[in-house]
Amino acid sequence: MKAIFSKTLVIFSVIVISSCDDYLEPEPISFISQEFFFADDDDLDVGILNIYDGLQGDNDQQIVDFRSTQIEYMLTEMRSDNARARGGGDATSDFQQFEVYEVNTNNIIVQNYYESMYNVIFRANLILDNLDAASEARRGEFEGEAKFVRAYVYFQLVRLFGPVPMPLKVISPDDDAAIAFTRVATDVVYAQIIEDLQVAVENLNNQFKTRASKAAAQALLAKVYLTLAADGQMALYEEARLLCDEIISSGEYELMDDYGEIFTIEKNDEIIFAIDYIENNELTSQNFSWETSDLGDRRLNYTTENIRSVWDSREETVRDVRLASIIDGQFMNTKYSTNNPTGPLQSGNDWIVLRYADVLLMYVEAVLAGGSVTNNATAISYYDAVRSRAGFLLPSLSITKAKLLEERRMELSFENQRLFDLIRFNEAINVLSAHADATGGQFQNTDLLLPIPQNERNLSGDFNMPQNPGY
Amino acid sequence: MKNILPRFKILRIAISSLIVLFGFTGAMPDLHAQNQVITGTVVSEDGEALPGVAIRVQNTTIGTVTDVDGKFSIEVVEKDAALVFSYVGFKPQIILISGRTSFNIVLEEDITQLSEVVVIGYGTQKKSHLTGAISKLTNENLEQLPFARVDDALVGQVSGVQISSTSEEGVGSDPTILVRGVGSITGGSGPLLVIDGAPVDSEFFGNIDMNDIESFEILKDAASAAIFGSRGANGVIMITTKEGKEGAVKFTYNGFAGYQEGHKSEYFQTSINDHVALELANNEFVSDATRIKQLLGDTDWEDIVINGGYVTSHSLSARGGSQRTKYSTSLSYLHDEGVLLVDDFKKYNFKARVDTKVSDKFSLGFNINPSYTKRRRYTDALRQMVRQSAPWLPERHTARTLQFVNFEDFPDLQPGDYVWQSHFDDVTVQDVFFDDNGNIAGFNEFESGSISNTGNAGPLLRILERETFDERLKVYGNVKANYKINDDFSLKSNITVTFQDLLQTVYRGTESTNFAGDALARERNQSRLRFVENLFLNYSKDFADHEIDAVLGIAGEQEIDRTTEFEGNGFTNDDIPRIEGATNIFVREGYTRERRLISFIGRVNYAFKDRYLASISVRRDGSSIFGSNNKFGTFPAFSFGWRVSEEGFLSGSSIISNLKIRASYGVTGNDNVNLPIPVQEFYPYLPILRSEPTAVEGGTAQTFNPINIANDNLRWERSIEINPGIDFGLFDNRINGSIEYYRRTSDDLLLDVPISSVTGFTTSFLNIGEVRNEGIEVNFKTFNMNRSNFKWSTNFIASTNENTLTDFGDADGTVFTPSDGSDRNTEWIASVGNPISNFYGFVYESDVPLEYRARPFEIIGSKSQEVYVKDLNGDGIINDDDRTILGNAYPEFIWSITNEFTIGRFDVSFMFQGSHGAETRNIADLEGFSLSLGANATTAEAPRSEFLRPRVLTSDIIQDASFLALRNLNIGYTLPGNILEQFKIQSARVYASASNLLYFHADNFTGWNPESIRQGGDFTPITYGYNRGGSPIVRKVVLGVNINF
Repeated sequence: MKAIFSKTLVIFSVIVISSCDDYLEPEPISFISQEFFFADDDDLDVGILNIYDGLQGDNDQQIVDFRSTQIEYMLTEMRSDNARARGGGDATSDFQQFEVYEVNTNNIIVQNYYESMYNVIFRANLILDNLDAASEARRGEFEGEAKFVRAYVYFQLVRLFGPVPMPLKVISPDDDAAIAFTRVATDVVYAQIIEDLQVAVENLNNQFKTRASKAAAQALLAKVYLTLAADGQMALYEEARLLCDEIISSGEYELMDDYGEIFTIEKNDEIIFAIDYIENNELTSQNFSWETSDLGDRRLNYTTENIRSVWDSREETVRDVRLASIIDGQFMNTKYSTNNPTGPLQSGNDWIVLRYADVLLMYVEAVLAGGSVTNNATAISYYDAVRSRAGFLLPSLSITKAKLLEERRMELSFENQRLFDLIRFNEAINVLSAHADATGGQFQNTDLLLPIPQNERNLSGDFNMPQNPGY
Repeated sequence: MKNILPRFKILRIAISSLIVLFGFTGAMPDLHAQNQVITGTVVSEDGEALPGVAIRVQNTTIGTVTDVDGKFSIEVVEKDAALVFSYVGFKPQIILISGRTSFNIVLEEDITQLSEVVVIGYGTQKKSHLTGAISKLTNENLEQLPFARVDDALVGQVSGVQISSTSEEGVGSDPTILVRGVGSITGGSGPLLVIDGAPVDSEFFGNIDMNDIESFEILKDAASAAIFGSRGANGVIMITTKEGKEGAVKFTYNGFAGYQEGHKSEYFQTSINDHVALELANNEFVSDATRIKQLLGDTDWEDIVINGGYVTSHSLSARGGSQRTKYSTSLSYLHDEGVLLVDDFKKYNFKARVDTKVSDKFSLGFNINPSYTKRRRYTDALRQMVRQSAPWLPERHTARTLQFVNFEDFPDLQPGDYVWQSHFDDVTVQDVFFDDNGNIAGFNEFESGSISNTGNAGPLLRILERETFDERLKVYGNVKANYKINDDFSLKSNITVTFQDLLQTVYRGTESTNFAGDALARERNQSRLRFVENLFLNYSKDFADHEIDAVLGIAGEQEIDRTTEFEGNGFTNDDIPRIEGATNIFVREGYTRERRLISFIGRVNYAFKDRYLASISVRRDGSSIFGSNNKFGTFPAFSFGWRVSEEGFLSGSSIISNLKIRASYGVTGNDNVNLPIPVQEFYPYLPILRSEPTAVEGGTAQTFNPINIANDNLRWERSIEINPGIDFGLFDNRINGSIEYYRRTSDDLLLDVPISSVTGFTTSFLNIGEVRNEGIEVNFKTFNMNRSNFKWSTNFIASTNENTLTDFGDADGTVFTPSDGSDRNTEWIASVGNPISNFYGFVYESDVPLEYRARPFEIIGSKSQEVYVKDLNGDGIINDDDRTILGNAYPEFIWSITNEFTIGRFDVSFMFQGSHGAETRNIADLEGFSLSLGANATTAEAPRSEFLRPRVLTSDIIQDASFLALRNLNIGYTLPGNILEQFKIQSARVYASASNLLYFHADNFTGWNPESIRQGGDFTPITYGYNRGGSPIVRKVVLGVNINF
């Protein structure tokens, strides 16, 4: 019997003690631990897709997960003169504050977008921190894709919030609190955006439309340059023009003949960069098509009387995207009308970030270079190409700044461009003040920036994260 | 057996077994050396035979025990030897043989409990030597309490332990158990459950059979619980199961059957006629819709849904054994229909236990206990019933109700069909009226308009056509071996395997949803396999004035959980109401997770002169749950006691018969992790990448999604507790009891703390904050009468608890808004200096007058959705600054008083229990009567509209949750022996048992169960006390019989 006991003791000890380190770290079965994940190119491939997954955002009717791009229209288009909620402005509603410029510092949409964008940055930084796992052949490609998305996100953030925290690596909540709560000056943010996009331009080709490409990086960089040029760095207009010219002369993109097909045929020749959604799968579909229609609970991003009157006065037919609501006298916009209205979480329309018409018009903007008029023949040819597709066949003799701004509004309405165009063209204060006066809004100059979410400031403790003026 | 000291039963067995054990070891070779046989019987003062009395020849190891008839036979060598008779609960007797060979011994009952033995975790200890706070509860009559679950029967039995039936889903639901208040903020605040030495899942409370239980020991203070280290912080409930006794097989049958009903709330019994009167008083006419409601008549939906039910239980056991081998086996069945319309609980339990001595030194034991339960949940929370039903809504369609249906919209309705409110919308009704002679005099025409207040499927549909079944199979298996190295040292090994499997099937029928396409089936499979291995070296030595009892051991645990859940939809009929009948099936959830624990345990209990007591223990735990920097933690404990009554100066006292002063200090941990993603709970420190599909270039690809931040520093919640106490016995222990004070400080609390989202995440699972629980517990037991034909004892227990959040880092002042549907979202605040969770909101001032309500007469019993609130800071506006703490759900004082009487052959006991000082946030009635239904809105004309806030956010729904209940009442009659003998029955007792015969709650409480608290999801200990109606308090009466043969 003693023998049995000694044996038991031995077996027991062997089970329990000999492998103590492993014993207390059981291998996860149903998931992967990120600490050990990135070992080779295959892992990085999967990780890169995850960055775009972050941009696509969580498909949900609640504003709790990372909604990301799916709620961007509220922060951009609904703060312009193009869009309104069907229910109109309402300072007490998180969804209806934007159009009356009474955005609360606790607004859950603002907070959610801020959170989502930093989640995308985290995903990009995770790849950049693990680039050593890449083969030499593919390292540049991974770096280019991650940096393109990171630059895109910072560009959105800096335009919406002004100075923002700028982590360039994965940060820890304890050790890197200074990074999390320090708002970095906009010129530093822009310098980083430019640096990242230059890496992307160097390392990418044009094989993708819903992933980063060389042309996407060039187009985005052009827009960054136009933004900075409008702010005084005049030399950058020429840089922007050169970038647009490279995209145009590459011959890889062209205007769709039918304006409507830009939005119904996905990944068409006009698309330079879009955010991909696949219909009929809650995990890969989107919710904004549903939510901006009569079907939605909140019925947002309806057309304003202002844009409808411009469509009417210009006799726009092709680009007049209004659709009468069946509920009352309101008008939705049809640009992203769901092609698949089987349920709130089932739409598959891609979200277009950059397309060829935008590049053509950016070329014109670069040539105009802050001036009030141009008669540059190349610029006019690009401008007329965009116009003629919309049914305006009469050749232009010159292009004024005001005409270009309106042309961009017509061409790119409900594509989240209008607010940034107004700011870049230095017309935001005029236009939005007038718009607010006409619709009962409370516009002030400080409303061009959104508030830093109060929640972040509350958490900032001793760092005492500053709020934007006017909030 | 009449015995007013039921709690002694375990000790009898334990001591008898011990004596037998000692008796036979080493003694057997001598058995043939003599041949004088002494025989006799042992009886109690009442003349009842006492089985299992230990008999030992003094100063030898020779011994035996009495058989079931109290008879014994023992061989002795010396003619002048003395026999020692000892039996737990009785005073020992020494008899000199003096040449006699036959004795009839009468043992005198001993009402002191000092010789009782208590299970203390990896060992036992004399109760008189305890230095920590351990409550022992022996199962004498607990098995006659008509409860589906074992833990329900513990309500009110132990001081400092609060057990509340908090569930919303009817019979078989697990209650909430708190030992000395809540010391955790992440969910796992329940005590650890240990069955026969092995930690098991608390779900075993639902499967184990009360008839198999010998005793409960509840380790309350940290010094006692520290032996369970990282999981002892919320207390430990240990269950010891019955073992066989030496002697001929003894069968026991215990069965009961009875009826139960649920507590109804008058508040919901709104009457149409009252409504008509109200409408008349205000409007001077009655609307058409109300007239139609009047014609449809009053239906009492509470009666329909809280429909009562039967409860039946049968348990049969056989126990017995030889000198070497003892066995115990039992079979049981329980069926509890619950008090709600569909809830139901069935339990089948089998247990077999064998203990055998392989040799003088080596003994083995086996124990296997499979059980199966099947439960139908009541999933459509009672508050839903309020919303979906209205007093005018009939139960089902009849020829009469069909007259009121709009057949253009609902052409196919037949008598017997389910009713929706919307069936009666937009219908024109002709009501015939009669003249004095009873002839038709004419017709009145009414338009119902929009009579419904919900477009949802009718209440009966949602209850009957939606099913959720839980089938649980659990197996508890245990092998133990003891090896006695010598008189002082022994080795004990114990291997326990528990397996549990849950199959949950959900079906939502095609008729039960607003759209037939929403019909669905779900199937959830969850299995859990757990191994627990212990190896202990025990040392026990008495010499001179010293008693030492020491253990040194190692324990290991592994647990593997597997879960898969599928959902299917696309049902067009209800022919196959299971996932197999679905057209599309997809995976909702699936994971496997594993956790491990390794522990090194040591303890020394020491007594000097039986008077000065000390205990020191230490446990070192290594857990797979925590970060690489904190895998191991150490949990020490010290306690001391002084039995003052053993000192010379008190030895002659006629007043003080027992007095012990004790104090303890201990450190325990809590490793319960509660996170929204279950797989994360076993690896909370790891940065997890979860598989997820993503759209890419028009197709779908797999990617891995980071869901959290790594935290290598994650560690146990730690509790430190001090517990001074005093145990006393007065007047020959006729009055005895204890008083103790505890203060437990828990820090490093595990919480998903908000962090800067710039990190990529909005929360991080961290150790943060500190909470303190302190209170006083008293236990008194008095033996008021102790005559042979009339005995009366009283047991009083009471405890206080004050819970204070003492540190919450940067999160101090955080307002939590658990999500429960946007119009029911309410606020809690975590604020240092207050309890861990507090209701937060506006202070109610007054209702909106009728004239400013949109359509006040549309919904019967309706209240305004908004109310006027107080401008607390007097700044003339109402904003967030006017919110304040409105109360909390933790009782300040709970008590119970139990009286037990034995009068001749009758025994009676009853327990009152009370709880005071808790509030509840009761939203049950809001749903139907005031939530965001258009009819309850405020009109634009209402004055001072800036002072209006939704009622749900105000103190108006904070109600007093205090109660006073007659929890148990038991009356038994033991049949006279002479009748039974003819039927070969040793003893039989018939009894009646009732629970909650009386139940009083506060006047302002409007619901069905003041103890109900919603838990799970966003509802954690920090957002505690949300009452959505719950399952009603149950009143039960059963008749039972207990037969030994």
